[in-house]
Formats: sequence, structure tokens, C-alpha cells
Amino acid sequence: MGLIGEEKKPLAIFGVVAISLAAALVMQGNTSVELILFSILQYFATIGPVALGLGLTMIAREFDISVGSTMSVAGCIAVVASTSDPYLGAACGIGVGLLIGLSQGVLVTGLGLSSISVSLGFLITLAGFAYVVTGNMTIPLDHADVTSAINAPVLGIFSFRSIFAIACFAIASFIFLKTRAGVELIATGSDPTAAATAGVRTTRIVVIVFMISGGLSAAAGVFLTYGLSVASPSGLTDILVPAISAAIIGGVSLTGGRGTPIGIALGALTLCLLNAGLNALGVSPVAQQVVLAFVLFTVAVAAAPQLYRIIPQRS
Amino acid sequence: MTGTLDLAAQRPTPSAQKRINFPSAGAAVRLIAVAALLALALSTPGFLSRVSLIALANAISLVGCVALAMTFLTIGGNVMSFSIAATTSVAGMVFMATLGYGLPLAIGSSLLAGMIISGAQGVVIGTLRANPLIVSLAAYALLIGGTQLIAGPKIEPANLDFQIFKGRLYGVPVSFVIFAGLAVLGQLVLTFTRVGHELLLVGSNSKAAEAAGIHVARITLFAYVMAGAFAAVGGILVASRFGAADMQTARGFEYTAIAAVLIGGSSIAGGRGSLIQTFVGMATIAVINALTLLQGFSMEVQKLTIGLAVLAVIIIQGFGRK
Repeated sequence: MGLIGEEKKPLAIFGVVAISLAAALVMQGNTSVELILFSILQYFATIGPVALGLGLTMIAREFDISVGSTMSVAGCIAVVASTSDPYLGAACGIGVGLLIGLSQGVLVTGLGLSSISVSLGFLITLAGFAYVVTGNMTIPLDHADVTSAINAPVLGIFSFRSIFAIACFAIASFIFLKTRAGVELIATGSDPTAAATAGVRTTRIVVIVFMISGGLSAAAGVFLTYGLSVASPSGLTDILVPAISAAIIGGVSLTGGRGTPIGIALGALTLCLLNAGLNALGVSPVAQQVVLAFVLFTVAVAAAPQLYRIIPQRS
Repeated sequence: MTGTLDLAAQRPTPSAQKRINFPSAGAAVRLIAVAALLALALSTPGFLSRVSLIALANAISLVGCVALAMTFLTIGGNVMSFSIAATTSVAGMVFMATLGYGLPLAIGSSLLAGMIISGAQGVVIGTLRANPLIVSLAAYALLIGGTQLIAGPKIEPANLDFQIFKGRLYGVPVSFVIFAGLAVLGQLVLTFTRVGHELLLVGSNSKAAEAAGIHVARITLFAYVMAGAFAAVGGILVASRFGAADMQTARGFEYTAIAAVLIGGSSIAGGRGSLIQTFVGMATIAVINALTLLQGFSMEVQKLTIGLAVLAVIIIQGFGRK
């Protein structure tokens, strides 16, 4: 498994964007580097874990489009369950995320259903569930101390949220590179039948990958909600755009079997730098959305010729 | 799952009947579910009142057009589009913006806008084989952001010509007549034209269709252009209902739309389904909504119920294939 080989392209893209950002900041005479790095990492904390979870499902040749709903439902549950203890709330939110992942993984592997259909069903159901949990209201978090603790800068540029995100990537990379799990994941995504013949327990891999995806999205949702101090049942697709972009820029193939956690991290960081650069240039949030849409569109077209197989045609 | 389609392909003139009433475990479950729903509806006081039925018809016709649009994409093997509701909104904005030049021109330009937006995605997806979900997701973000930049949050009409779409025809809301008309019209195209048949074949197995000499890219483009036109009609109706056009009103319609497609029984893997089924699926959703409301449940429970119904249908489809 070539560490650098897989990540050459994402690294190059990241480098180009990073240099342009640095150049833009120098031209502007912007000196608050610390603040900019902090905001870059804050955005990374939001999209990073979701991109990692989604990316891992894509490496396994599955596709979890329910991540946005999982994120928002976990945040809502956490806030509602946190009236007495915010830790209990967070545990409930993340637990539900794992459970969502487990159910999706079992349905996909057990019934041989396409992961797109299953996660689409979950996306719609969970969106409804978030409304039921919150009673269609915006619910404030009662723990101001938690909110400030989660957002407080650590060592100048980090925060609890971004440290969590970085830790997720570090652990995922370690497992991916140093244990059999990484090889088995790649094998499952490249050719499930061959992998199963070679003794890889593909069912278990897929279920675990879905659980990771559900758990990471839920954790990102819980911490984001705690950081914002309010839970709202809306959300859905808006995280999907940066998450998919990050995964594909990071070298994850839509046909499965290719990609690494480090690549996904680079992809997510690239988007964060882009975001910071546009902010520094004073581009409005709406215009930024258009830019991000163009990025995703370009990425979709660039990856186009080989990606028809991801559409549910399991039978 | 290919059994029904092979049968249909061998017959010289496959009737619509054959394609709609395929026998399967899923069909049986669906029949029971519909019967239970009907029984519940009939036993709920106030359900059959004129007001209630008109409210029902009103409720389904707007998002119903979007669901019909989505059907072309789903049965063509492209799962769903995240951008179809945004297309609806943009078409509505075009309609309101051009209303000053006369109603026919406004309708025409709105339809054209829908067909171009959706057709452009169809070209990328059909010709380059780009992933339909990702392309539509990018298009969604592009449309939401782009319209905000170009047109601003809301477009007020120059005159009140749109009122015609808010009226009633012999007591039936015009929007419902249009929705039902679209369903029938679209189904006729699917059932009696060559492209309609080819669309189902492409959806069933695009590689086999290609090998059989079907121009897959062209058929995919056809599906997306049809979807764009149908979505635009929905956009005209939405804008007319609310007297102004924005990007918010139709937000989330794509989820109700795909829910209607799947609850109606069209296959999410493509190749099987019809607009009439989507019409029934939409009506089912409306009945579920009306029932939960009349039984005193909140709007949140409606959303959850619809979601669970979709999930159940997807799982039953999985069982049916085993």
C-alpha cells in the first residue's frame, strides 16, 4: 500500500490551493494567521468526520447519502436528552448514529439492497424523526458552559471539535495502514466476490463501515449542535455537497476500492482552505456556495466515465 | 426482477396493464396496505367531505407534478435528482418574471427554462456517464446559489394573469386537473411511444440496451428534458398558488417526490414503474397526511410516517427480488 502513491493527486491539489490562499492573504496584508487557521480547522471539524464516514462507505463501494439526516437527528436528540447531563445527551446522539449505521449495514448486506436506496429511505425517515424529536421547533441547549468549552481555542488554532476531527482521521489512518482492516476494506470495494472468496468477511466490513459513517456523522452533528447551542430539525443535503466533494477530491473512487483516510483529510482541508480564501477575499456566502457547486460539478465530470456502476444494479 | 420486462419485450404490443400489475410479494403487501388505508380513511369522520377532498386535491397537485417529473428519472435508472425541486423553483421564478409579456410567453419560457436546466444535467449524465446523484447535487447547490445572486430572494409578478391556475373547473381545482392531465399525458408517452419503451429498457439494464442498439445517451437526455418540463409545470403552479416565486416554497419537494415514486411501486433500481403508479403514490401520501391530521397528529408525525412508508417499500422491494 503506497502511502504517497495514493495521495499524490490530492496532495498536489491541496498544495496548489494552500499556496494560492497564502498568496491571497499576503496580498491582502492579512496578519491574523492564527484566526484564519482557527476558522479553517473549525470548518474542517464540521465537514471532516462526515466526509471520512461517507468516504469510507464509498471505498467499500457503498454510498451513504443519509449522513446529513443522521447529523441533524443526532444533534436534536443530544440537545433534547441533555437537559440533565450534556455527556448523556452526546452519548445518546452518537449511540443513535451508530444504531442508524448498524441498521443500514444490516439491511444492505442482509437483503442485498443497494445502499443508495436504503440510505435514501433512512434520509427521509430520519428527517421526519428529527421533526418529531424537536416537535418542529428550534431547541436551545441549556448548558452555556458546554458551548463555550467546545468552541474555546486550544493552543491558539485548535478547539475541542477540531481536535476530535483530527483524532478521527489519525485513528482511521492508523487502522487503515497498520491492520488487515485497511486491506480488507480495499478488497471489499474492489471486488466483493473475489474478496469473499479470499476469506474476507465482506458483510462484516460493510456493516462496520456503515456504523463508522453513522457514528462519525452523529458525532459531528452533536458537537456542531453543542457548539451552536441550538438544535433545529432542518438540514438534510447541505452537508452532502462538501462531504462528497472532499471524498472525491481526496482520491476516493466512485467505483469503490480506492481512497485513503489521509486522502479524504486532504480533500476536506482543500475545501476548508478554499472556503477561507473566499472569505478572505470578501466573497459572499451565496457566491461561495456557487463556487463549491462548481467544484463538485467539475469533480463529478472529471470522475465521470467510470462511475456508472455505483447506481443500484446489484441484481 | 427482469422477468416482467423480458415478458413485455417479447410481446409485440405490450399493454400498459401488464407493466402496472406485475404480481409480486410487494404488490400483495401494497394492496393490503392500501385497503387498510382506505378503511381507515372511510371510518374517519370528515374525510369524505367536499372541503376535505378539495383540500386533498390541492395538497397533492403541486408536489405531484414534481413527483411525475422524478418518475422519468427513477425508471430510467438514474435513481433520483436532488435538483428537481430547485428546477421547479427556478421555473416558477422565470414564469413570474416574464408574466408581464403575456401568459403564453411566460408559460413557454418557464417550460424552456426547466427543460434546459434538467436537460443540461441529462447531457452530462447520459453522455459522460457522470454519477446522476452527484451531478444533481451540484446542480442543486448551483441553482440555489445562482438564483440568489441573479434574481434575489423573491420575484413578484407584473400582473395577475396567473390567477387562472388558482381557479376551479367544475368545482375541481385547476392545479389538480393539470396534475392529473400530466400524469395521463406522460403515461401515454411512456406506453405508446418508442422512446417510452426504450427508457424502461435503459433503466432496466443500460448495458444490454446499448448492446441492443439503443442510443442510451439520447434516451437519458429525453428523460431529463421531460422531467424538466414536468417540474416547470409544477413551478408555474407553485408560483401561482402563492402569488410570487421564490426558492423556499418548493424546498424539499424532491423528497416527497421520490417518496411518491417509491410508494407508488416504481423500482428504485430503474426499469419498472409508471406515472400512474406515481399518481397513486402521491394520492396515498396525501391520504396519510390527511388522516394523521384528522386523527389529531402533528405535521411532524406525518413526515415520519411518510419516511417509514418509503423505507418499508424499499425493504419490501428487496424481499421481492430475493
